[in-house]
Amino acid sequence: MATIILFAPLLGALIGGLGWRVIGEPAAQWITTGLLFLAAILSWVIFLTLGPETEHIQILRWIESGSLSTDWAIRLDRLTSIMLVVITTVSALVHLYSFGYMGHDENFGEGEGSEYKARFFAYLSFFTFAMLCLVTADNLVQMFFGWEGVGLASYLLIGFYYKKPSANAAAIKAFVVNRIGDFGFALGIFALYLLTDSIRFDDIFAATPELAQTSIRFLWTDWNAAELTAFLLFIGAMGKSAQFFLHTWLPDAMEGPTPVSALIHAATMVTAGVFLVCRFSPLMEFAPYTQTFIVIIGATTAFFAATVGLVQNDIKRVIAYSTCSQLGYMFVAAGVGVYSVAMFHLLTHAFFKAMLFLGAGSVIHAMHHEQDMRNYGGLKDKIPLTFWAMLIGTLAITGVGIPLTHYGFAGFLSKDAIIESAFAGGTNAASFAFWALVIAAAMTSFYSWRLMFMTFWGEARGDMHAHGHAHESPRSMLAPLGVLAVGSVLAGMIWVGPFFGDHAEVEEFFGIPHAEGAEAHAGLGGPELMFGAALAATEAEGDDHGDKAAVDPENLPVQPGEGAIYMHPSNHTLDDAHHAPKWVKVSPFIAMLLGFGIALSMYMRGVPVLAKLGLGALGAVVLFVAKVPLALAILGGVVLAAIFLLTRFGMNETLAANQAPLYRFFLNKWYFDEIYDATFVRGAKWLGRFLWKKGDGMVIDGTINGVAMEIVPFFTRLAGRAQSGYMFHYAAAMVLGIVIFITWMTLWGGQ
Amino acid sequence: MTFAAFAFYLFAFAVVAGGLMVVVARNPVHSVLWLILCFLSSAGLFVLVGAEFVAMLLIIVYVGAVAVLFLFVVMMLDVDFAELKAEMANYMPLGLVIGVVLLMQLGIAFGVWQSADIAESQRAAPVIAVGAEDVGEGLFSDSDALLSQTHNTRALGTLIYDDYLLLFQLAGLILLVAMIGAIVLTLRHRTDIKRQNIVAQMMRDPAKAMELKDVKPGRDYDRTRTLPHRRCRAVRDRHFRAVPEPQERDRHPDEHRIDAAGGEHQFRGVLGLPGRPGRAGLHPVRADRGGG
Amino acid sequence: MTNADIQTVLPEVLLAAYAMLALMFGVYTTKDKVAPLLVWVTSAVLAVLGLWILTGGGGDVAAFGGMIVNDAFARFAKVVILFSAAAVLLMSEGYMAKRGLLRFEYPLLVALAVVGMMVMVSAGDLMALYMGLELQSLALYVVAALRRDSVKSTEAGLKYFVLGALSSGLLLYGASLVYGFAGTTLFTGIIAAVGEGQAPLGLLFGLVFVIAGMAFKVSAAPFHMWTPDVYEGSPTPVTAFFATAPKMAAMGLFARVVHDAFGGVVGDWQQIVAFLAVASMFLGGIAAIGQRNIKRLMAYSSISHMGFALMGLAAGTAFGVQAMLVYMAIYVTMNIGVFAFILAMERDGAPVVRIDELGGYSKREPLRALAMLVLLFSLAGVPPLVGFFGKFYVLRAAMDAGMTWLAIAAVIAAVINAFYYLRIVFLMYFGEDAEAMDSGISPVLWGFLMASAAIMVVGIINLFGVEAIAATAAAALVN
Repeated sequence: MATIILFAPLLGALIGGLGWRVIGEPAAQWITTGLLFLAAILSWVIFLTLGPETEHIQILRWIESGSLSTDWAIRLDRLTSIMLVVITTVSALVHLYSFGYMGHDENFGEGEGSEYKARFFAYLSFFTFAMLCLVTADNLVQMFFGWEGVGLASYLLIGFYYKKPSANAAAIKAFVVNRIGDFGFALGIFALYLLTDSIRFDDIFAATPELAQTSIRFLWTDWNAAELTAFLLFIGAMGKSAQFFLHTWLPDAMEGPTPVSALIHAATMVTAGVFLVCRFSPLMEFAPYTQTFIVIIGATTAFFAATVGLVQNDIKRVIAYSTCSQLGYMFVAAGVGVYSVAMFHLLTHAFFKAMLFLGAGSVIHAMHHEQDMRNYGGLKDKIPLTFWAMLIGTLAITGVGIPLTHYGFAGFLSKDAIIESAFAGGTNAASFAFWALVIAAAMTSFYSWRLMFMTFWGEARGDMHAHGHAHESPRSMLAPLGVLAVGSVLAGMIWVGPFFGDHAEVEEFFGIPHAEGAEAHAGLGGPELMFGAALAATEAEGDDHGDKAAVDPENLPVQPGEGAIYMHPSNHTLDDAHHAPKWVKVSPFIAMLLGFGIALSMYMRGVPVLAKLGLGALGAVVLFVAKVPLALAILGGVVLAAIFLLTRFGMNETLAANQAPLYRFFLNKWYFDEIYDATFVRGAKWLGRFLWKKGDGMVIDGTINGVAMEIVPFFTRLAGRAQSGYMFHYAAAMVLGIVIFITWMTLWGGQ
Repeated sequence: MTFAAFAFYLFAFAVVAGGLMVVVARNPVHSVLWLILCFLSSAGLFVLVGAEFVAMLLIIVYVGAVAVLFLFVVMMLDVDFAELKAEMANYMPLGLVIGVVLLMQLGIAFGVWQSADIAESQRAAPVIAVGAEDVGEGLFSDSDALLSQTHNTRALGTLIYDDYLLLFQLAGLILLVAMIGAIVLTLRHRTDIKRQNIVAQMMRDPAKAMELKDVKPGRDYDRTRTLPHRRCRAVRDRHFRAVPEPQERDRHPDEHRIDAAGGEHQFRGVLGLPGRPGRAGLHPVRADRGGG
Repeated sequence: MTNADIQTVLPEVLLAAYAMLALMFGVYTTKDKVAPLLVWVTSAVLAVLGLWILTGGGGDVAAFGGMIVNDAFARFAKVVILFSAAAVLLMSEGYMAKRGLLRFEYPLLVALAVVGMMVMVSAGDLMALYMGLELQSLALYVVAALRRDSVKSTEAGLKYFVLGALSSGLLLYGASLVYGFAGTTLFTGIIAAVGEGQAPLGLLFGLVFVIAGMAFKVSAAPFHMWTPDVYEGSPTPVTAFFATAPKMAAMGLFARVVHDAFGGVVGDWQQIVAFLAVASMFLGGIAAIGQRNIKRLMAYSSISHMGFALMGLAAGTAFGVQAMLVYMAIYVTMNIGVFAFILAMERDGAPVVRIDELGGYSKREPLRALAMLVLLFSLAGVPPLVGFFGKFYVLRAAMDAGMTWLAIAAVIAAVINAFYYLRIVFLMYFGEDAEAMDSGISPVLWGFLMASAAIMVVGIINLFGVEAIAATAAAALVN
């Protein structure tokens, strides 16, 4: 069944991409889409019926070279099944959606090259295949194949409007930036192969405890092998998942068609990095410093991307930065050791972010490919279904739900779980992450609602003609929105238990053999104190660094690699998270409230004071329920209300004017592009030009040309002249040869 | 100094001096004469070491045949040696340098010359195989006697036809090839020369050879001209029939020569024709001569 | 003198006897009219002898007191010589007949030259070596000048003769030095006298002179100067003959002398042979670039190929000799095909030798052009054709012997050499259309061209097992 899932998209891509001239464009579209739906259905079947055992389905023997033995096999466990569901579902829906969205495109004119649909669908299917290869991989090489396959597909799809220079540039950028990550990933693979003499996951995972006690020499320094390999793999993950420093390609990737953004740059490919880290949880668990690094990078990304998202005007870019930010959340979760939560957020995020993108696509479609939100406004009534879908998506991403319960939209459950885990992580980095994530949550709420308000409420702005013709999208585009909406609402509530339930539930879900030791150990770590807990946990964690290295590999209660994910016996973040103080648990809700209130006040004309006060009161109530002392709860509510009241409609512009440097800083994405351009891009270009003009042009071409066109012909002429036809010349040459040899012998030969 | 020593030095000096003069003599005829002196002196040296057969060979073959042949060739060819030498003078400095370098190094080599330790034993004179039949026939009492009494010529013959048979035969083959080569490259059966064919001459009879024509005075000069021509053709036709045609081979090369040698031949021929229109009348005479 | 001795040289004896019989037959019958018949018969005789030697086998036999050695090495070389001579003879029949060059002596001279070559490759003695060499050379001088009415042809013959005499003189001088050192002309005696380790200067001089004489025969730079002129001047079939059998014979002789007589002082001659190899490879390649005459071009081509073959020899190992033998076998095969093509280059019945005339050839004669392309690629050493394996072998031999610099130089030289081969291909396929050439081709030429090209392609499977035979041959030579 997994094999069918894997190859259905490939089949579709081949038929659609190569055979559409024979079968026609519509048929190609239908075939690819149909195969994807088949794969999606089968994926759900697998997901729901998966047993606890990890399955290995061998497809073919692939590479045999020395001690390197690689099969092409499917590794089917919980992680894989989650990813299968996410990938095939979103992909199938995006295929369907593309029927409408790509129905007509002015980027491709009439005549030659105007048939783009089959190509598009083939690319989509190919991407899906590559992504499935990645997630079903049983070894590193196979995974790398998928990894590069999605990179290629991403390149092709970002640059799908190949007539647009900006699209081409974005495609190249995405590819090049990903190369940096891939370089790290490749190095990681090499290192792992070097260390374990295998690239099979099972072998590597089994060897991780030893790796933690091995050191490897790299870049003139001795490193802990586990740390180094984990770090290198994470570099790969950073590139693919657009984490801080390597994030710059993701916003630019929005040049691609919107379905592509939904599929690749929101739901699936960008989460490959998270998947990688979760897949390598056995390794990560033995690399505490790398984990810390992951946490810091993740938190920083979440915060940074959120700040940039605050001020963007392009609807897709807002969502893109939102994606970037949410990926940061996932990495924080993975970094603190709750891989299940990272996967949980990955799952829910796939639903609501895909929906947001598809919704945005629907809006863009309605507005004739206008993407600037400043030219939207008042679209609520013109495209009501899209509006509702977007609203659900926004509610999901901002994390609306009933605090302290398990009732809420998908994002509510998964994001809160991450924030609680970050708090429970206990290290300094985790504390930083906690606060960064909470603030980011507020900002997430702000920019999401800002998007909603600017798009759907208020008066129509910009081109009135476009507004006049704004129309609801066709059914093929709305149906996927509906499906995803269901997921956005329910996914969190349904699966919160398996992903973020108690230890046993999670272990069962992920097929981890039950271990008494871990349970017993977890029982000890139930801190009750509110503020002291963090400190205590920090110390405990500090000790754990020593513990992890010291644990005897033979005595581990659970061998690494036995389940889909691995949690070290000393890792009880998951349990700690459940016991986090209530104020921690409600903090994201308050942050959400804050963001929503500010956005409401700033972008909605004439919001009743009562409403603002009500929001403040809601905050106070929630805080109170969370057992915050009454006075503090009331104070919080008052502060919230005051902020809302002080925020006025249109204040965004005054703020932008008053805080111009900060505004520009955010608007220009922290000047990352500029810095990179000044340093790397220009440096590389200078180097490239230097090597091209001087190195290649003068030295290499010069040498080759000089030799081929000057020196050799010179000798040719010389040889021609020597061949004079006179016999005594010839004889002289012979005698000369003899003399040379004789002299040679006199000087260097003989006695 | 014994006589033998004196003779040796005399001959040796003559060989070296003669060799030198061969090279430096201005007149090629003189060179050849010096060469003959060389040969003669060498023969003397051979006599001194008791190889009288070789000495005689040298005199008879080299002096008597080869050197004389050289002399003829040099005289016949009339090569302008002065011009060649002038040409050589241009390369003299370089040649001299090379020569001196070569000479010096050979000098070094001979200065430090040493033979292999086992050279002496390997160098032992070839042993003549003593055939049992020789002894048995009673010519010699035993093999030692055979060795001591065998003279040079016989020994050489035995060696050549025994140990060195292969080399000797190969040398013969080489000479055969040389002969074939000389014939192939030089033998040329020309079609335009008279050649005596005795059979044809004997088979001639007046009925076939002669034809009576009634010539009207002053009128039919042409016919008188064609008459011998035709006869000639008739004779030659028979001649063709009589023996294998050696000329056949050469016709192609000759035709080909005009092509192969480039424009020069043709050019001259084309130029030549208009140059002698008045001598056209001579042609029949030549044809006649050819037919006789 | 025993029957065994005669038995050992029976092929040579038979061939010589045949040549003399045929000579008598020709002289006393119809002379040149029997020439075509003699060509075919001689060819058949050569081929039969080749087959006989190929299948006969036999051990390592010395005859005539060691003057003649009949070992696997000699047999390998003889088979190549006999077959290539037979092939070239067959190919030449049409060309020679058309131009009136087909004299009945021609096949006989070739046969006698082959006798000389066979003696050369099985020589075990300096005198036998010299006799074989002269027998071969003299016959070759004559056939070079066979078109005696062409200035070029006679000039070719004369040059070849005079320079050949010079080289023979050098060889003899060297031989005399060697004899002076060793006290014998037998290789077995020489190697015993030389022993291992350092050789005295006098012997080395002798060695150098002997090598120079042999280098002339293989046309290795700087003793190559005669090659282009002789190749150009000689009738094309004779050129084809020069480029094949005598090269194999001379290389065989070379290997025989340096290993059988001087196997103890490999280090001393190795450097010289390496120098010859490098000089030949580069000079052949560089000089050929300037050539427009395909016969001269093939002359330079053969110079550079000899350089590659010498590289195998320079390795000084058994594997090196094996590589050289494989290389020569491949080289000879390729050259037969190429010359079959050249022989068919005619316009209005006249031979065409300028490569520019090949412009647009592929459009008129796609199959022949393709075959030529394969052959040229193979000559250039383009993988995966057989020619590549030849080069690969000698390169490996040099590498294994630790002569990395030589291998690197060879690779560079191969690149230079590729240029002019590819230029012919370029001309045939993309060149400006030249006036059409005659489309006819005799079946014999066509057959050899196609067979040779096919071998270049098919041979990559296992080189027809030549490797193993060459390995045995090399093992017989190098102990």
